[in-house]
Amino acid sequence: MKPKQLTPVPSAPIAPPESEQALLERVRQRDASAFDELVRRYLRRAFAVAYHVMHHREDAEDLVQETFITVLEQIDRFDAERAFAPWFFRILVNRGLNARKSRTVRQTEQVPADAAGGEGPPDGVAERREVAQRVRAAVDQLPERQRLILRLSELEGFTSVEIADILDLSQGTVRWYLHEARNALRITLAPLAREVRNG
Amino acid sequence: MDDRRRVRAALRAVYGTPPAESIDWWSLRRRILDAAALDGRSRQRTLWDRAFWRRALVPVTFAATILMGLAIAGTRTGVATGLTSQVSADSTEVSAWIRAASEGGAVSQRDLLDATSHVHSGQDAWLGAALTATSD
Repeated sequence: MKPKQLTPVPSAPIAPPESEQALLERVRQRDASAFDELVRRYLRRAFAVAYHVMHHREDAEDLVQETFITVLEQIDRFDAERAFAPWFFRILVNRGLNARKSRTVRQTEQVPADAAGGEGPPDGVAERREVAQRVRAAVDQLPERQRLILRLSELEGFTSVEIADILDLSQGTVRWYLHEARNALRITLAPLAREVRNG
Repeated sequence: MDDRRRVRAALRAVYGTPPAESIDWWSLRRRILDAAALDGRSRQRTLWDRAFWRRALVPVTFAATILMGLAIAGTRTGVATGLTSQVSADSTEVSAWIRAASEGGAVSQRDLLDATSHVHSGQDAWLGAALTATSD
């Protein structure tokens, strides 16, 4: 049977996404749909970063909400010539760190053992749990700032330039913190790595 | 796997964010938009919004209209009933008078005058006058 030929369907022209500058200008004018679009664009990443700062889902959600409201309140102060993301995440991280300092936040949410999968860890819930505990113990030994920088870099893919902008540090300092954190983890986790390697 | 990747995998395993599908993104977004309250501020005020306290008058006016309608309907029914009974009474008297007159001679001049006095002015007055004239 002759295969049915598919006729190309003319695709509807897709409007290019609105530039961030134009979007922010509309947010400045208190345009609800523009603010909604801004929330859509940044929500997931904002939550991820908030989660790294707060270590708890509900606290992270609260932080995300507070950050967006702060952005709306302070949008007139934002320099339109500069990138929005570092400004946004700076607000988020600073508010999160302040919240952690000023109040007792909920205890770090325990990640389920079976969620600690990924590459490397051996099979078996008990073993994974043990690996998770050892990694957690190693990371917890790091100073808070190093920990945050490490997580933003390794898990969220922020560059050291972006992290420097967010945390208001020099790029050299961020790179140094990252180097220190990775070294410390490598040393602490070396026995674990050997165990995993040997099966 | 090199050490760097191993560290990253371990970090992800321990500190990874909750799976995206476990988060109710819609509710979180809605919460943020509600807190921003931009909808309320930017939306054009409708006539309903502008009515403000006058909105309370709507049910009151509605109720008053219904009561007024009922009252008018009641009055009309009463008037109609009254008229009907009066007309029927008049009609009975007049028809009795006509019947008596048509039977010939049984009705006196006085009876005719009495009967015509029962006929109302207006549309029936001509009838009374005509009959009075006929009786001569």
